[in-house]
Amino acid sequence: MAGNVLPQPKAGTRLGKLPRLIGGAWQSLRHNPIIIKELRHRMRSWHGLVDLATFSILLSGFGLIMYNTYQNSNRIYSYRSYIYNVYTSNAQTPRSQELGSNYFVAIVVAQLFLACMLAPSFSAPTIAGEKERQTYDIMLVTLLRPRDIVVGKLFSSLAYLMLVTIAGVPIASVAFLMGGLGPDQLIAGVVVILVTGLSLGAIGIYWSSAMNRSVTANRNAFINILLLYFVGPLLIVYALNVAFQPTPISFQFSTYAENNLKDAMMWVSSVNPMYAIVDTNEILKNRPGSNVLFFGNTPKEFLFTPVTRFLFISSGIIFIYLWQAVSHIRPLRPEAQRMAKTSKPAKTTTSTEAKTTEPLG
Amino acid sequence: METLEETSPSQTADYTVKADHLSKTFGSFEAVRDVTLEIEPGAIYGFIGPNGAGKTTTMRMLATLLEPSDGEAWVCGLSINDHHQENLAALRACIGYMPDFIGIYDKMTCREYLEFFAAAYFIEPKRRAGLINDLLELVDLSAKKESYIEGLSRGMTQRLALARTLIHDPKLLLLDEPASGLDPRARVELRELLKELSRMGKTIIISSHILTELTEMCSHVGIIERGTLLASGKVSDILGKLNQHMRIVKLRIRPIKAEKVEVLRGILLNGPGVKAVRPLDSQPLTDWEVQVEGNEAELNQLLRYFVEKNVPLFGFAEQPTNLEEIFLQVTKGYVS
Ligand SMILES: Nc1ncnc2c1ncn2[C@@H]1O[C@H](COP(=O)(O)OP(=O)(O)OP(=O)(O)O)[C@@H](O)[C@H]1O
Ligand SMILES: [Mg+2]
Repeated sequence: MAGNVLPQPKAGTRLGKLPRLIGGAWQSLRHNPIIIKELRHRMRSWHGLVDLATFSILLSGFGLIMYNTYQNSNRIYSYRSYIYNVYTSNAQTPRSQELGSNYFVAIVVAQLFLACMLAPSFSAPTIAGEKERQTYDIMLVTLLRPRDIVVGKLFSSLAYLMLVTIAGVPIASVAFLMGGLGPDQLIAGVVVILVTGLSLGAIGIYWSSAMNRSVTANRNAFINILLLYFVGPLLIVYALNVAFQPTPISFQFSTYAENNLKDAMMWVSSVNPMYAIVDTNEILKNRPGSNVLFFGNTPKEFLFTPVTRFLFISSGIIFIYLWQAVSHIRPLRPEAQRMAKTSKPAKTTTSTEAKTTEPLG
Repeated sequence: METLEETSPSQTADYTVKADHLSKTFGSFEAVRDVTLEIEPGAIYGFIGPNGAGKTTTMRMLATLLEPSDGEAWVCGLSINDHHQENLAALRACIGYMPDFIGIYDKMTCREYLEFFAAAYFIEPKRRAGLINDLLELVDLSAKKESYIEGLSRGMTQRLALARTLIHDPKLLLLDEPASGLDPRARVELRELLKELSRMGKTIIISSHILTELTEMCSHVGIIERGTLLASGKVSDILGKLNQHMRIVKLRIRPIKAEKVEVLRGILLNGPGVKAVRPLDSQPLTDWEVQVEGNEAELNQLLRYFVEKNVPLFGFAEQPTNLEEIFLQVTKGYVS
């Protein structure tokens, strides 16, 4: 049992705790039997590598086309941008730099799209597949805790996506050559892709733990993602728009209220990582002094960029779905857990002794 | 058992398994009703019952996979209703569960399969290789160590699954129909293996609906039908209990004329303690089966009675009662 237990952090400085905690988490991931088993299984099938190569080639081709298109239209753009810049008082962004960041955003969005496809389709069959193969019970009766199972299944199903993301980094880095892309943006791009993978993977694992067949788990995960990331935000933003549109009667719609509305819309839209990346890029281009995490309408204002908001929302999504998945994997009903929990602390040692000795003696 | 006593000296685990009015309902259907039983350490407990009797349900409850609707059970002195992580871990550490359907992972060798479970039971990495070799040796699969599981025969898969249930050295083995789908030879091998494990001090619960399969190896039986445990205890005790009620005696009688058969039947039926008479063959009629209520003394009287009545007897033998008999009698309600 000892191998998997997180090292107990001793009472000490905050700074001392954190690395030990991260180290412990890393050790527990590295020794998670499920990750080892699943990865070995995945390595066995060569098509994984073939897929990876195909994807990298496709992504490079896509990048090349993007690059050429922008190059060719650069001449027109530079003329238009002259006029554009006159009107929009923000002449700081030279055209060539916009090219770099646009190229980068396109690559990231392509990868996000891939994550939307890959993460659920890898994670949704994992636990339901064990049920189908009838290996679920024997996995449950081992000493693996439900959270070991969930974490093991999640990370092993995302390993491939992580590989693809890392393979995409050099292709996205070409944007550096074109200029207009800060290293923080590149890091943010990679983080957003990985967090997207984690959230979609968590949704897949949740449905996998709830369903008995991998086909239904897969279908439900995709529907869930479609509603949560695309249809839902669109509908809400549309509804907000309709509800709070300044009509001729209420034309004194204050800028304060309008800003609040915009802010709310930005929160809702930031569920979607593609929106978050694209809009943050727009903000970076148009508002000097902002970075990937914060921006402001005035130099004194600090607002969260869509990327930051996306990260907040995603943490919530990941937490809720994984938590639900863990409670699904416990074979025992939650009522009983609650009863056990309430009865145990009240009478500690005596209750366990009475429980076990009375019927035996 | 030593380790258990070391860790918790206050617990007197006289029984490896003790169930107290264990029940399970699915919706309104009572799959298991008030099962109360005790299983001593080292016993091979045959859990017998027809399809749908509730064997799997009971075993899944003991294996902490299913929560009882009512009642309580203790395995190695630990309550199965206490779902705290430490208690569950301790319980699972002393239970080896083999389900009725053995799922296997594809593209995995026997060694990797056992390695996965060794890791899942948190066995120290440096002990794993030796342990896996020993287990494969025990179940006679050493030659298949590096073979893919999907290429194994049914019997081999079953033995591999058994090796898997043994990997954390559990005190109790819960084997749900381990012999189903095995040929006679593989069954004999499995039986020998289980006897060997019992000698090693393991308590084994083995379910089956095929009685002959269990006859030779079980020290204890529990008979369950429609969710109710009809009898449970030592095979010899149950046999004794049964013998007080009913004995089967086989008679061999010299062939007699057809018109005399009814007369003979009347004489046999009038014997002391005779409850039923049944001819076992037709022309020439020689073999009869007589159901007698009573003990040895009454059997002796019966034999004297037959001799007095000049029954042309040349064979009088009490049927050895086996599990099959027990099962039939018990499910007819003779023992309860
Ligand atoms: N999850 C479930 N939901 C509803 N009913 C169930 C469930 N599991 C079992 N049952 C019912 O409970 C009864 C007992 O089933 P169980 O599997 O325990 O029988 P069994 O003795 O193992 O039979 P077999 O010899 O066929 O394996 C059956 O009638 C079955 O239909
Ligand atoms: Mg069964």
